[in-house]
Amino acid sequence: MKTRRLQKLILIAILAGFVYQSAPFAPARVVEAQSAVEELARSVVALLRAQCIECHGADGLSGLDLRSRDAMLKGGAHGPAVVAGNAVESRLFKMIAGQIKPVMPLGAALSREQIELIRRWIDEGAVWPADVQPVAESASGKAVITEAHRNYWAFRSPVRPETPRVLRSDRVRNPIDAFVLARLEGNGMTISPEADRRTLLRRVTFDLTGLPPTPEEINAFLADRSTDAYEKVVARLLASPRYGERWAQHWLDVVRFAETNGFELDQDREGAWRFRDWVIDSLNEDKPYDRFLTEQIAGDQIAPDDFRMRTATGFLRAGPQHVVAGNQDLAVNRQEWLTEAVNGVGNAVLGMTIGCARCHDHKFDPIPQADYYRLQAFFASTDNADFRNPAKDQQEAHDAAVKAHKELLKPIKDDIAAIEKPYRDRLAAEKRAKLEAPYVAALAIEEKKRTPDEQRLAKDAMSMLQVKWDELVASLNPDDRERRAALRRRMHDIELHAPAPLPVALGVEDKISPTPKTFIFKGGDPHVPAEEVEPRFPSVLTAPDAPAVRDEKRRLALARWLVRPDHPLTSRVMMNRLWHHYFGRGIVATPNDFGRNGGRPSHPELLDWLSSEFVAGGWKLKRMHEMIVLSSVYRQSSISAAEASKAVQGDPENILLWRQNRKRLDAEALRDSILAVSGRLTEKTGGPSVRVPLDPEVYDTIFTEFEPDNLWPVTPDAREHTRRSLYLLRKRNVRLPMFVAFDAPDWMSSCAARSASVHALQALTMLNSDFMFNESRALAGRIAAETSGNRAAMISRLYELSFGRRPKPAEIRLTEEFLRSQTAIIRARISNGEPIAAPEGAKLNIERANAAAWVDLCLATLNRNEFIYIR
Amino acid sequence: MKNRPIHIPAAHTRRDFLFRAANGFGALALTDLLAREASGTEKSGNANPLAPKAPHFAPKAKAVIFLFMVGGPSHIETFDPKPELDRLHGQQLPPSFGEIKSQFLKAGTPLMRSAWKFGKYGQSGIEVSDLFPHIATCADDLTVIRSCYTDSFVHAPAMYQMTSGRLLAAHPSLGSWVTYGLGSESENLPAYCVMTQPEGLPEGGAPMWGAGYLPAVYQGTLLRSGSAPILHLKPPQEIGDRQQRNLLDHLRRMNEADLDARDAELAARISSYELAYRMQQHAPEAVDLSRETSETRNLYGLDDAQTVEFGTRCLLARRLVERGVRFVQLYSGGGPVSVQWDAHDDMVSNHEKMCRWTDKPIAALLKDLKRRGMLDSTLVVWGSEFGRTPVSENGKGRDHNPQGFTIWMAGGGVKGGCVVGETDEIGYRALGERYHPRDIHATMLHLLGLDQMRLTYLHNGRYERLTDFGGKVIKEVLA
Repeated sequence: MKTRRLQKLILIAILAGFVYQSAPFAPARVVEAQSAVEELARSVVALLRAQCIECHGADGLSGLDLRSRDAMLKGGAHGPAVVAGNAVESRLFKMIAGQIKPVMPLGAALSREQIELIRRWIDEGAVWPADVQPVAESASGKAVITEAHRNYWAFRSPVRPETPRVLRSDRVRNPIDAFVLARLEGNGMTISPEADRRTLLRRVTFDLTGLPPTPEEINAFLADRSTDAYEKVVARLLASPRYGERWAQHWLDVVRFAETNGFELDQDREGAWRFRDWVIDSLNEDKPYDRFLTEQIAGDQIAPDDFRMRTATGFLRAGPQHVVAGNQDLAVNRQEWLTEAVNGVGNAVLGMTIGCARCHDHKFDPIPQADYYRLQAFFASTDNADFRNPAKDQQEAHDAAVKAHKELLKPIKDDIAAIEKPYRDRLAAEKRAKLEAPYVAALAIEEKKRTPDEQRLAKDAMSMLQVKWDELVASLNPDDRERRAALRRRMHDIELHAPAPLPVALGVEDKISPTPKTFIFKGGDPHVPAEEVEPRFPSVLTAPDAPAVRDEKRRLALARWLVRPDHPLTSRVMMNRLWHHYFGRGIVATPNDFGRNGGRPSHPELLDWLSSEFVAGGWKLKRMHEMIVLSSVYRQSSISAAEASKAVQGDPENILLWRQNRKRLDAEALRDSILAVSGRLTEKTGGPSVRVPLDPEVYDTIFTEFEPDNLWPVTPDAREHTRRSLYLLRKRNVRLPMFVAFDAPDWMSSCAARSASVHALQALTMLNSDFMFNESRALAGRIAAETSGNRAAMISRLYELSFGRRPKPAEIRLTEEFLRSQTAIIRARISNGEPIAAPEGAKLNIERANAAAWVDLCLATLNRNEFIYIR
Repeated sequence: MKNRPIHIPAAHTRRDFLFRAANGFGALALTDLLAREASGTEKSGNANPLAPKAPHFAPKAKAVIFLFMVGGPSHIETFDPKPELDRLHGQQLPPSFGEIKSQFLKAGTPLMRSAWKFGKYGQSGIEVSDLFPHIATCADDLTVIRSCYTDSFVHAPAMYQMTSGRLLAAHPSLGSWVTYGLGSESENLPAYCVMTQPEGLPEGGAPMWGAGYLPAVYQGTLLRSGSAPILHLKPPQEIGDRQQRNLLDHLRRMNEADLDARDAELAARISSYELAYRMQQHAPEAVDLSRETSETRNLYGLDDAQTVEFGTRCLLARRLVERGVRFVQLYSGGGPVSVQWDAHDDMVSNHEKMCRWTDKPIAALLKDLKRRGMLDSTLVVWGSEFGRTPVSENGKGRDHNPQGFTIWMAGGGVKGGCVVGETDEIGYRALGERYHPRDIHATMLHLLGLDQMRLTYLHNGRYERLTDFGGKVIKEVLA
């Protein structure tokens, strides 16, 4: 006990003492709203980058470098590329317009609009955006970081801006509103009216918990006329364990967490789920974000014997890893591990595409290749470590249980072996009979007396004599094949109840000793080392004379640097992630890229205010969530696109947030909502991941070279199958069809913003899968059981559950018509002897055909746009 | 949930390994779903995300059939004869070749000659081994590229590279990029169809036809023969066609009542249900081979237990392309080692079997496309993740060799009757101009009218491309 308390004290001391010894970050300049000239310039730069600089960058073809205005004015071997203010005299324009051959870009002419864009830009003086500069190169060919690079907005610390004064101060609930209104009002606009209470409750419940509000919650909210009714709802939702589950999923997307290695073997990472639970728990207990990050990057260095701290470092090994037999290139394997670790931190914490600098200096951001390897140096001695610390009695109990389990299996295994034996012997004899003379001769020689050639022959002979599983199974007679299959099924049934493995924390530790040196690798190839580097933070984020990091605990030093209160990226990146999920678009529209290729912030002051507030409030996330969802900006209506185009010609994409954005439920929320509405959702937090039954077609996509039975031992307790999607086993190579169809990430690379594609296979899954059919039956049974069975009451209940509202008269009419026509169709099926559906559970006092029509109505309801879009 | 299992239990698998001979024809159970052609489906507007898109420049090929031989067929035994190996058979690797780098070999195993002879075929005299007597008759249509290489001697990464350009599975597959760039000519079938070996998957698994970070709409769809060719294509047995149509009509009415006409996404979602319904009606027809003449069926080897399985998939590939499918990915081999081209133990027994299964169907595909006038606009590619080592493994087999191996192309815009590139005297390393999957992909995109440099997608701050920093279009391949 004493040591534990001491550890805790040390921990608090470490966490509290986070002022890292180096120059503070430069404060931000005020970022001006983008002018039309700048916008044109940015579009041109983007176009040049996408189309031209592949060939015309540093050491460009024909000596032409199109990465800066100066370089263009200077031009290449054929003279200046651009004459500012005169497009028709500019070689760049002539070549893209086809007036000088060959047309550029080679083999890929620009569109008329793109050519026109460049013409206009040159004619208007070829203005270059102030903060966009190429990464300059020094005489030695090494990238040089200039003051201009350091001045890029995202590399300067946020400075808490003054809250602006606005006209519609009546709509200002907190500073968030003032920042958004200020920009709107500057453009002659304002925010939309507040959404109605039902819409608002549905929106905030989904956003905070990933689940719909229950009819009871809706009624309670509607009935609560107190002024802080909404605040109370928000407090309730933030206190719900469902909050941690929902927001854990967003974090797990970013860290591309899955529970298998990927690649051919795609092995399970037994116990990996504990990292998922660690994230959920951390969010639910509102662990400060600086601690949240520090534990993930260096938990083992803070408290090496703490199981939870070890679990947290699973962050560094959440990505895919290639594990395979045979000859290994250890240097390549190690490089892959380091790449995953560094990219993980780069994407998730810094919101930077650090990985681009693995093979070369970053093309767009001031990240020299050396900086990439300097970051890698923080992980130089780190590798995967599976941490177990069972108590003695725990270990003994486990050993005993394993022994008992093996004994249970033994007679079955013996029976299987007995069935196989005669076949095995026969096959082996056949193989031996076919063995060619040199092999037979080699085998005949006593092992010790074989020459090297004979040793090889003997080894090859042994492999030729091996009986493969598929040969064996093919040789069995039908009776034996069936007997054996039955025994294997029994064996697998017993294996399902094998003793739970001892708790393991899949994390990392510094196990490579002495700490290897880190080198820059040319082209990213670990076999071509260049100069040695030391652990250092990225140059553009540190003072020019910042020393290398000498700490023994390198990762802890890195974590402390990342969570410095004045770090320009860490808090901004996280606040932007929150914003992205609440508004469907981040203040920076590319949440994993705050670099020059990424989006400019739509509301830079707001982002800085949120970041400052976040840090000042002790990095507490719940407080920031609360602030955002309580704002008028969040609460405003998401009025339709028609009204949109009427109201605002200038901002059809709603960048300025004059309304809320409609959002589509993501794949997991969709599945969870269906279960919540059907009444079959099992609400249970944490624990080992669940294997739900798979469609056979999906089961068949599990790769194996071995006997393809028992590849997916379904979790025995069926109640587990209806748990939240977050708890379903994340196997990299085999994903549930609904997740695949609805743009769930593949867990191979960091996903900060999901696509929302719409296609026919989604409709097939939503109409025809067993999952949808069964949940529709459950929902039909539920609405019957929860009402008197009266038609109007059932329709009403269906709407309350599914959409959080009552049906409109026209909807009631159409629904009744549908029930009538569908019942008639089903009656015909009954008289033809065809199967029909029945609601699950409740005994309905109605005709069977009518009951089946209710199932169909429920299926249609779960497919409706209103169910899958949150307004 | 008593009267119906919640899902079909997982222990039941449709992997029909080992029972192919017994099941061959039965698997093609004919359906009369065609007769139940939908009435009342309306043509949707342009809300289909897979509507055809204009290429960057005039294409030579409109569709692709990629025949992927899983596990690494030996180039030395098929399309790249090495007489020098006959001379060096049984000897140690001459030191000038350095060390063989492969996944399992230890130093010291001897060189091994091909067990098959080669002949020269067609006007072009392309050399093809006796393993492929039928493909040999198509020699003048083939452009054989003998100097391919990949960067890994392990199956999955090399497969990912051959399908996505990278060793990691995190990137979109070739078919995803192509459908992203071109959409599809078919509204009734998935744009990008994938057909795997019934015994199991290639090592790389489903990520091989995944969309990576592209939107889900561009991923490959697994397709099978039989009455339910696509997952969830058929409604539950409790929901009949009229009943489902009525349900869909109700759903549409309700959705339209909410709809704002200018809201493209909601409109797209409404039409996705009509597309799905049409797919239900048309997909079974597309895979219904009973409509083919017996001459055609026999051409593909559907009358032979050895060739019926792959022949069926080749014939399906033609039918899909005929119906406007953009990209068909076909895998020969998967699951147990004995059903892959992965001849570690015995070249003869493995390749005899795998070639026997595929030779006639592949030749039939080329001939059938040609006589229907489809070969000019259909790019057919035969290839794998790597070839095999010139030295033996386990006595009579060969290990993985990514340093030099052969693929071939035929059809849409491909010259035909020509050989490009070479390997060294023993077939270990590609010599001279070597071709990476990047180059193969750049060439394929070029034939499809797509410029590799302009087919980009912004992901995590990087304009990603199929060919990453760019491949060479292999000029010698172009007609």
